[in-house]
Amino acid sequence: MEFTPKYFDPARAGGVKVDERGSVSFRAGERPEDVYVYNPRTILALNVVLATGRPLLISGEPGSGKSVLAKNAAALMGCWFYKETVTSRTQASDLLWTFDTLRRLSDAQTSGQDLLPKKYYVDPGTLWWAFDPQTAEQRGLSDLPSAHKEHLAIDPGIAPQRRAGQKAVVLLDEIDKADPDVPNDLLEPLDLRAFTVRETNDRVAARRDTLLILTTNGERELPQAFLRRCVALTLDAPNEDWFVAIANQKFGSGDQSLHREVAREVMRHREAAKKARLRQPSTSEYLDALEVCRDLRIDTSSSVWADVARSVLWKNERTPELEMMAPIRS
Amino acid sequence: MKRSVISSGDALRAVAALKPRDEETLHALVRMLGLTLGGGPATRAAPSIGVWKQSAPKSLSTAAIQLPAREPEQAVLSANQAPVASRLRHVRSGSAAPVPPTWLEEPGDVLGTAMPAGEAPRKRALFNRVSRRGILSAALATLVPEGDLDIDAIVDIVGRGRALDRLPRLPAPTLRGGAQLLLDISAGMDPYLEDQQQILNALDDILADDRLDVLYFAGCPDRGAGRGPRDGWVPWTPPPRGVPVVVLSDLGIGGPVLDEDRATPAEWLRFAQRVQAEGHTLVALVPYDASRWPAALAREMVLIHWSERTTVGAVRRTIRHAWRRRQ
Repeated sequence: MEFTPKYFDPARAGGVKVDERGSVSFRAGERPEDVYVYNPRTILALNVVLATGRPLLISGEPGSGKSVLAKNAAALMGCWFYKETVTSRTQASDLLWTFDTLRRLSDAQTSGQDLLPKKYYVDPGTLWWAFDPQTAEQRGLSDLPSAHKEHLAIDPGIAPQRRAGQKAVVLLDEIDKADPDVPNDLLEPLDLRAFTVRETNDRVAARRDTLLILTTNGERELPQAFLRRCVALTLDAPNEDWFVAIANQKFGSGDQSLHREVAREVMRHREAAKKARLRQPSTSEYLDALEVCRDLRIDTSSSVWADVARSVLWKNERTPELEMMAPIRS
Repeated sequence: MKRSVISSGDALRAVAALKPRDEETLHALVRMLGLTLGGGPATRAAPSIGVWKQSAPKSLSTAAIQLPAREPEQAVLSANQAPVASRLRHVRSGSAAPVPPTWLEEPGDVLGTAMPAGEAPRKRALFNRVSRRGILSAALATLVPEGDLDIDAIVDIVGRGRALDRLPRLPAPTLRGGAQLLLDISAGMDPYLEDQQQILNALDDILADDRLDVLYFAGCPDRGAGRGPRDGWVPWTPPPRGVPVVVLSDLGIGGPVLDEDRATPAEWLRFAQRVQAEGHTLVALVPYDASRWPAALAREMVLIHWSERTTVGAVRRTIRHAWRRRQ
C-alpha cells in the first residue's frame, strides 16, 4: 500500500520506526507500556478518519488488538486519551453526562444549608471531557465560585507523555454490547459535536479535535444510520508472526526463539478454545505467559509449562481437550 | 455543522489528503468509507464524483466477523449454536429442512391454471422490512424502572409525608435480558416459514449472541419443545426469570382442521398462565388479526398481529399497556 500518511505516521512519531512489513519499533527508553504492531491498512484507516473527521469503527476477533490500537495511537499522536467500556446498561446520555439526583436529595436533607444549584450534581461523561475539558471540570459553562473549588470534577483522561497535545482520542469499547438504541442516540452529539445538558440547559460544544474510535465484537448488528457515518476497519486475526512482533516490541528481539515458541503455543490454545467455543487467549495473555517464562527462566518444554498455560492462558477456566495441551516439541 | 452519512465528499477529501499511489490502496480507502468504486477497477487516483456509489449496506456482524469464525465449525454445532440461517433445518424429525408446501411454490397447481413463465412474484414480508427491527425491538423489550424520574409518584410520596427511601422511576425499555423464541412448526405455520426465518435473522441481529435461545414446538410448547429434531423434545422449560418469551405461532387458529398438531385455546391459556406464573412476559406474533384471537388469550398474553400493517407505535402501546396491567 502506498500513500502519504499525512496525519498519522508511526514512523515520524518520535522514537518510532516502521520496517518494510509495517512493524513499529521504539528506541530504548521510549517504549510505551502498551505496544502495538501497525500494518499499512491500520495506518491508512487512521489517516482516513483524521482526514474526514469520521469515527473509526474497528471490528475483529478477540485479541486482535482493537482496544490497544486506540490507546497506542493516542500516545503516538500526543493526544489525551479517554476510554469508556460500554455495557448492556450503558445509555447514550451516560457518555455525555449524568445527573446525581440522589446526592442532591441527600444534601438537601442532611447538610442543613441551602440547596446547591443543579450544576453541582452534573457529572461530565467521557465525550464531554473529550470535547471540552474546561467546562467539564466546572460542570457547566459558568465557573464555580472559588469557595466551592472542591466541587471541581476530575479529568479521567490519560494525558499524553510525548508532548502536550490539545487533541483527544476517545475509545468507546464494545459498542455492540449496548441496547440497539444507544448508537442511534449518539448520532446527533457525534454529528454536531455538541449537546445540551438537560438539567442545566448548558450547551456543550467541542472545543478541541476529537478522534472517536469504537470497537465491536459483532455480537449484534449496529444500526445502518450509525454504520454509514463510520470508517470501518476489520483487524486481521492475530497470528504467530503478529504475536512475535508484539513481543519483540515489548521485550526487544533478544530471545526470539522463546517469543516464537510461546506464540506457537498460544496459537494452538486459541485453536482449541475456538473449537470448544471458549474465550481465546489474546495478546495480553501471550505477554503474561512470556513474562512468566522470562521470570522463571523456563520455556514451553518445561515440566511446569502446562500449569503456566492453565493459569495464564486459560485463567483456570475449563480447559478443553487437556491431552492436547502438552506442548509441541519442535 | 451538522454532518450526515459518509458520501463521496469524504472520499474525495481523504484521497486528496492521502494521495493513494496504487489501486489497492485506493480501493481499500474507499471500502473503509463504505463506498465502492463504480465501473470496475479505477484507473485514476482521484475519480470524479460520478463514479462513487454507496456500497451494499455494511453488515459488520455477519459479513466481517461472525462468518469467518464459524463456518468451519458448523458441522459440530448443536441446533441452537448454529448460525440462525441454518437453524430451521434442524427441526422436523426424519427430514432435513422443512420444505414449504408445493402450493406455495406453484400456485398454479391450486388455481388449476398454468403460471406464465418468467420471474416469480416477489413475496412480501409480514413485517415491513423498514420497520421490522423497530417492531421486534419494541416487542422484545423488557420494561425496567430505570427511566426518567416518576414525578407523580415522588409527589405522591412526599405529599403523604413519607420518606423517599427509593427514587421512583418511569419504565424504560431494554433488550439486555434477551429472549426465548418459540417457533411453531405445525402445519398451520407452513405458509409463514420464510417469515419465521426473517424474524429469526432479524432477532439474531438485534440481540447479543448469548441472549437468544431458540426452541421449536408444534401446536403448543407444553406438549414439548427443543432445539433439535422433534424426537428429542422435552416439556417446555422456562428461561431465567424476567427473560421475555416470544412465540411465533398461529395459536391453532389456522392449519388443517384435523391436524393433530393443532392446539386448542384452552391449551394456550394454560401455557400463558404458566409463563406468567414463572415471571415472564409472553408475547405472541400471530399472523391472523385480532378478530380471530381467542378473547381469553388476549387477556393473558401480549398478542401482536404479524402483519405489514403493524406499526412500531402500536406495538409499544401494547407492551406498555400490558406492563401497566401487571403492576
